[in-house]
Amino acid sequence: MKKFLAFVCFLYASLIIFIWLKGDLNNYIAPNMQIYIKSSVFFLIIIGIVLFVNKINYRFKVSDLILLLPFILIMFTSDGVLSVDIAKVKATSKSRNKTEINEIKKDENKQNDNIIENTPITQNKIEDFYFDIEESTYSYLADYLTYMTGARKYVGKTIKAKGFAVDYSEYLTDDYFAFGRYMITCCAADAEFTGFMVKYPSDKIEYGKWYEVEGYLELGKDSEGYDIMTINPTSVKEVSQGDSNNNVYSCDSYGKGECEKLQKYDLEY
Amino acid sequence: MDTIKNISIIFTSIFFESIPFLLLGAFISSIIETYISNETMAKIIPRNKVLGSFVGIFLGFFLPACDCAVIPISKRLLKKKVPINVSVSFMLASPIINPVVLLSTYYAFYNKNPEIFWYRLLFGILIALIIGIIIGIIYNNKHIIKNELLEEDEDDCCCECGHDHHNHKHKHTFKHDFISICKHTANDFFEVVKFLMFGAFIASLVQVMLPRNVLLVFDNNQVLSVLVLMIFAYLISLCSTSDSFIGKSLLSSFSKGSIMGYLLLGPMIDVKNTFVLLGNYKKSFVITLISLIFVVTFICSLLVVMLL
Repeated sequence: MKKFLAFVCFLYASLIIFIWLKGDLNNYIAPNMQIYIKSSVFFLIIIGIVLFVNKINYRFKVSDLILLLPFILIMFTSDGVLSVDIAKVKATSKSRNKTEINEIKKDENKQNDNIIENTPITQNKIEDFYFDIEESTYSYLADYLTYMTGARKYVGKTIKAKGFAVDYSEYLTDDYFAFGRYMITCCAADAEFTGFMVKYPSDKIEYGKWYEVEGYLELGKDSEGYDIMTINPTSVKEVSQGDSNNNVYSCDSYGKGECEKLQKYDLEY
Repeated sequence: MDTIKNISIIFTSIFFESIPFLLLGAFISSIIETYISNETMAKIIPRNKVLGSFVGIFLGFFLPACDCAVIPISKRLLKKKVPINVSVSFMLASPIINPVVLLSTYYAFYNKNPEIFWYRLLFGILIALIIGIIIGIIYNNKHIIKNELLEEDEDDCCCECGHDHHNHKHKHTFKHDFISICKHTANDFFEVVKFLMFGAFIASLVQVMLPRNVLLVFDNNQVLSVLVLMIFAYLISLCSTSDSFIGKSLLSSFSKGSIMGYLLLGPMIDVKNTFVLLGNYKKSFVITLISLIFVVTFICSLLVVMLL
């Protein structure tokens, strides 16, 4: 038991290498953080060797077995992909009944007509603009188009995005569903759902499945009554997840280079 | 089964994310132990409580890591006879005012709510200063550290000489120093990791089991919503480099004052760090420190509510 700590160092290093070689590190840690965890392997091995070959004054206690907890829990993580239920747990809107939500949303159409009428076409440099959301810009673009008031100028523009459907029935009327991805800034613990509301009957979609939605951006209301960009779809296709991950990363996780790609959408970062 | 899977993934991600910062903290701590003598430390650090706390805060700016990394260093500073107010101010300020955290707060808030960035910086410094001074008065010259995991006794000093490293004139070779640094790093690393496991596990449970919309129960009450978000920050134990982005997503449902409570408290103390502190410091000290953090942060957040 004198060598227990050395053994734990080697085990931690092996665990990181295992997840890394399996290609699942992206599920746990954002890309910009991975260099640190990968470097840790080297230091853990060095420390392990020093503890193994040198005499140390360590007395094993049963409570030290807690150090093995990551090895027990890793068995339950399978592919390391967070399930879609988490999106519902992390939602910070008040649950409301359908009548309340309908009341909040009843002025939506009038609002959209006003915006389109009052947008001077001559000042709009992005006429016929088309957003095809890429993996690397997904989180920022979805957040921007959904929440930023400046995004109102995109009402009427076309968009195509891909993501999984989540059960937001407590926040949406039956003629809407929500879909998107988990955005990670640092690690899976800070994963937040980011995506769009789609004007499409929720009984025609299945929560957890992946969809590709193409349509026009409109201004809607969320369950709190705040303006929110929504998609009025021309097509909603169920697609396979393919190479896409449930997770996308914030611009800060990708680094400035990726964020600069946003310029092609005429957005500021 | 999905619940267990989610808990395991979140736990593993917290663990993975913490390892590099813990190693960095433990490494810096061991460098201090190996190369800086108590006497040198006493010469550098001012004894005046206010000035000393400012030095602690200033040192905190240069550690680009989150809350886990600062505990081994602040503990080592205490062992080096650095006044407790300096060590505490350093421990509380570093996770808020280091450049990485400042940058992430800047990105999250500066475009639309620049005042949140400035208030986080200013109140972060103020809270670290106030609590450092109060703890300095209460715990002046009191022993608050628990025993080491790897015991250093007469037979097994890291340099195998059986004395404190700086109370003798041995020639320390590279090999001796290297082994000493590795042993001290291992000691500080495992002392924190062991307790981090409990905290990370509870944080994972909370993240998966506690629906966030319960936070909205007091959203109409400015004072109570500050308290609710402080407790939320304490329970979810997010890394201070990423908590700004969650804070930003809460802006649509909470006042800026409440968000400030969340942004100030989370980096200073959370459930994960509570376990680490309890494993390394005496219980009475930990309880006093956590109570002070809650009270002072609450008062500062209410000030922000009044200002904004």
